[in-house]
Amino acid sequence: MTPASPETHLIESDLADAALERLLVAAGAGEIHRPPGSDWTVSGDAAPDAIDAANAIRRAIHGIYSAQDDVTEALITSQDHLIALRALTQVNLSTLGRSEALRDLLDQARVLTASDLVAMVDDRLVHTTGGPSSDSPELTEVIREATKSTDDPEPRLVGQGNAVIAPLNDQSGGIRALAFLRTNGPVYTTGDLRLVRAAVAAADMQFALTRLHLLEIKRATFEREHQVASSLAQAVFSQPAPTLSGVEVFSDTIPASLAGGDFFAFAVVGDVLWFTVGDVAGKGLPAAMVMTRAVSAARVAFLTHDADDPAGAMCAMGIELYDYLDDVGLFITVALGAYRPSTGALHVCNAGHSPVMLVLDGIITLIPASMPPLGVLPEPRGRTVRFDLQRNDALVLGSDGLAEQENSSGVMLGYDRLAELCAELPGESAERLGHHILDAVKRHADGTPPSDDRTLVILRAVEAIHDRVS
Amino acid sequence: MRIRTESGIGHTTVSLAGRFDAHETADFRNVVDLLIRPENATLRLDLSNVVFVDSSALAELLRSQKAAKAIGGEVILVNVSDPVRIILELTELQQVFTLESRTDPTTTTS
Repeated sequence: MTPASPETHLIESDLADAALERLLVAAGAGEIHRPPGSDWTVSGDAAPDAIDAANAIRRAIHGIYSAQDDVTEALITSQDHLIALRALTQVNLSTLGRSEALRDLLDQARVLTASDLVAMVDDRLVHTTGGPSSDSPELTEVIREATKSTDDPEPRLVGQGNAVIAPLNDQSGGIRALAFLRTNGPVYTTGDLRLVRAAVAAADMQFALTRLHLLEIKRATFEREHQVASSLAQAVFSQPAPTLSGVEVFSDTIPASLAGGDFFAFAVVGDVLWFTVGDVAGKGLPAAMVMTRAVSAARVAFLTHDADDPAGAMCAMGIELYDYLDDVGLFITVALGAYRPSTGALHVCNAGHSPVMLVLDGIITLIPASMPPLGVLPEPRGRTVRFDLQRNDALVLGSDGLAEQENSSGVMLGYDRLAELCAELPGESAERLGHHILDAVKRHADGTPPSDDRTLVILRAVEAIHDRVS
Repeated sequence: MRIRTESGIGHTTVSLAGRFDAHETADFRNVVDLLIRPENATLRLDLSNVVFVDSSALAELLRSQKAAKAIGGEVILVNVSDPVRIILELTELQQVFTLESRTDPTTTTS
């Protein structure tokens, strides 16, 4: 629809006036007076009805032109609203900074609704744009009205109809309503209220997007911190495997997520290799944090006990960790021991850990626990067991993530199969045996993600030991 | 895992069935924490139908045992299934709990 131009009005109006004039002259009119903006008066013999009819026609034509002007004006206004709505919806696209976005939003809402002022209101005024100062009496009255709680979600007219309070659907950000005020302009109409609803919908969307954006930033920050903390925790395994003549060492741990509760630690003290393998109950970063503390406690225990006293070292470690573990409600299964290659003497203490297996001449011997895991009893007491290793004998220490690894049918690898794997490569290096076991677990999983951390440590006697002291 | 609670005068039994692992510990805790109270601090856990426990579940059992003992009660494990018994033996945790057989009321305490 193309609005008629003012020029067209004039020409058509002149044509109509000329035609009416001819009609009046034909009806006997003498002189015709045309006062601007009002009815014609006519001298002469023209009948009064004819004059009245001519004036009625002129008023009717004027009415048509007025209506046409109104429609044109409404179209222009509508176009302005569309532009303002577009600007309102693009506030989010142009900025995600909260205060800047809100200021833009209020500005656009003010333009859209032809208001002098728009305010965001919680229990008090939060932010205004345009209009009188925030302490003006008329605004104070509107804010007082806006802070009244209501269950009606629709915008409501207040004052003399020159203000509107529009509650937000999403009030989680603390903002309860938008207030629109016209200080000098006309009262708000039903059509204006529709525009107010559009502004409120845009504000709701803005708040929701801002909240999601901030949540996403927070989540990303947490994730980053989680990654850093996990890397720090797992860094306890970055030290190279210890070297000591007469023993081969293989060690590997694979957390089920970024970090895990499984651990191992070594220390060479004189001619003795101290070792420990453990599993903190639970998974992920919380377990990893406990794990790092357990590793520290183990390293201290290694240095402060005799090689034939792993039970004493375990007890010291348990006492050191008990209060901490009791507070966090966790326990740690631990196997801890010392191996002296020069004599082949292996001393081990097991606190609730499995599997702990000896491969002696190709035969698997389980080393059972002699005490509950650390963190269960305040003063744990365990036993040290001694074995004398020959060449190629090996000690295999794992975590439950190996035997309990499920395949896609939910079938676990099992402790029996794990023991078989340990005996399958007699005479091979600790490294080869380690990879053999880990590969078998991986093949069994066949793509099923690990449900728990997997840890494997193997010590293997590699040279014949003579003149052992038993 | 299914969790069923039976309460009578002076005794409460919670029966667990299925896998008891890290995914179930929150539900278990929600149920058990409400049941361990000074006026009824002894709780029986029927584990006859538990097919698997992991270390998180064991930690949860221990946590409830400590909570019960702190107010003069205890957690008694009833009719422990073979998979759970094996894990309790491997970890030497059987010495921390009283194990009870429902058909044979003889109590074994380590």
